[in-house]
Amino acid sequence: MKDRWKSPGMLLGMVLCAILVFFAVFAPQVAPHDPDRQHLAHRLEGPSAEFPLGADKLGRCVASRIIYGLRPSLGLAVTITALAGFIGTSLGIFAAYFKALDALLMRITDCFFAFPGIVMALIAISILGPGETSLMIALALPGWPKYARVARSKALSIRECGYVEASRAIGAGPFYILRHCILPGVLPSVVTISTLGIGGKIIHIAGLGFLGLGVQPPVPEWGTMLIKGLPVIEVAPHVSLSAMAAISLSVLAFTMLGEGLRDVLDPRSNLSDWRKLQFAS
Amino acid sequence: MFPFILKRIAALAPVLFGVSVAAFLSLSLSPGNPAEIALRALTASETPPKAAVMELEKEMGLDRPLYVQYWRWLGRTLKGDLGHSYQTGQSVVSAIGQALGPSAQLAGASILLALVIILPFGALSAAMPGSWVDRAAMTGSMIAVSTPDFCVGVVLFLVLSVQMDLLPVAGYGSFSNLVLPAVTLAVASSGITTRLMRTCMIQSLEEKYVITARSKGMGEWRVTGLHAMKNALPPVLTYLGAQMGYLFGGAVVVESIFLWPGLGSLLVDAVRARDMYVVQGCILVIACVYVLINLAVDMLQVWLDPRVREGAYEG
Repeated sequence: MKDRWKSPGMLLGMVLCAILVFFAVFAPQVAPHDPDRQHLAHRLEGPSAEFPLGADKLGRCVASRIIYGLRPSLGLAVTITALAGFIGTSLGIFAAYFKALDALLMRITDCFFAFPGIVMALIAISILGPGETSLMIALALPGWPKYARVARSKALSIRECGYVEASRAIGAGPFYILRHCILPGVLPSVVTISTLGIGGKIIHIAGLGFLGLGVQPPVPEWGTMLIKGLPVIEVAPHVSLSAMAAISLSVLAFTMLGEGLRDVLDPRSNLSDWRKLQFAS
Repeated sequence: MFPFILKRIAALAPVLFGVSVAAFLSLSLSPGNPAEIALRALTASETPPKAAVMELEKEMGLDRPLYVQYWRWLGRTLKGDLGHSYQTGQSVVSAIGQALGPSAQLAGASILLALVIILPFGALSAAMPGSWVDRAAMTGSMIAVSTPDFCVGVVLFLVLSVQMDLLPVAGYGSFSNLVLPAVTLAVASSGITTRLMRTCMIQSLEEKYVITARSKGMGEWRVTGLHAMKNALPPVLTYLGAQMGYLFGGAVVVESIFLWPGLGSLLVDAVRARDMYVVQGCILVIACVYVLINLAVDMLQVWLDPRVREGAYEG
């Protein structure tokens, strides 16, 4: 158990995540320039001492925009994951405890699994229109069933444990049992898939930004920066490449942390859950 | 075997019902009055007369309760009438029909390419854990997992089209157009699957039949490649099947980068223009294809692995 904490991948993931969060919180202090300020003389200039990652088509500092871009990416990804995790986990343990709900909830999650996550997000955006609130709804909507499934299957096995039986025998009510006996056993798996899920959400947020359907300009956002850099990629590849590096690095950070957490918290996670786990993200 | 298949097909009914409700709601929840939008296109004026709008609403049944509307909509849909695009006036069924071919081509090519990556790397790294092949494959798959497909696409595009001028930038029609998007999706989807293959192979190499095969004096290549791999495949195939269903409609961003005229591009363009009949049609088709591919994979599973029949599968 103790050795698992020492896995280098997880440590690296933790350090990277900490750095990312630090940069997101202290963006105004860390960023070399105002992300919206246009330095027209430096348009499309490559990396230099003044502009560490160069400037974009409008002469804005790419490094500053990447740093400020952490805010919508991380902020939204964490919020969405928390929202989906909370809804899914609550529904999942309720379904495991109250058998009447179980079949219904499972059929509903089946329907959600019939769509690729990004398609469901696009449906929501087509109804709500692009914007940050609709982005949040659009990504939490396909996200929750995964948590419901995992929480349910964990809760079902915990339910049969002796201590739950004992609590019931001394007169504990269903909500007490759910909160104090079942939830603590479910949380490790939920924390693990949430951490992995944050990476998936970052990818989706960038993907929707790339399509012009996510966070709207002029807010600095990586997917938008990537697509805006494509037409000028032959003369100024630094714009798109920086955005891509930012996306991959942050996803990598959360994936490494999440996989490390899985080894520590949830070592015997079931292989048969793979399909469900990976596709609803 | 047959009861299993029947049970599996019966389980589809609630899913298809849910999908149809979702598709129906996507149209009725979207802002804007369909009667007004239709009239705007017909009369080519921004403000069609109120009376005409009301009349058309009645004709389209929009004044009836939602469940009546759903029922009628279902009837029309089952007859193959999905309405017309606001943008082009083309019928949604023919627009989707045109997009299905390219989507199937791309999804099929990507999965085949992905298999070429997954099988050797997954098997070799499981057979030689800790070796350089293993470490290279695992590092590569970690990178592939954390790189979104569109980033892979942009890098390939930058290197192969812009720098080396080997392949056309984007478009559809010839084989060379297919290469970039297919390689992109194959690389992106091989990341997780290679690791899954490795895990399954390691488990299967620990089984007793592998020891038996070795003790009979069978060569290591045959033990790994035949006996162990055959038993490691089912979970990998399940996963790839889901992946293929995903690629059919979910490869939205990659299709947009390479201007591939598949379902994903059709959906994104429709969402941008809020062309709701097309969005609705795409939703229905994408979900149905996804469900059917997963059904097919489960059938394949039964055929490959007799244990599944015995009820190890749970809905």
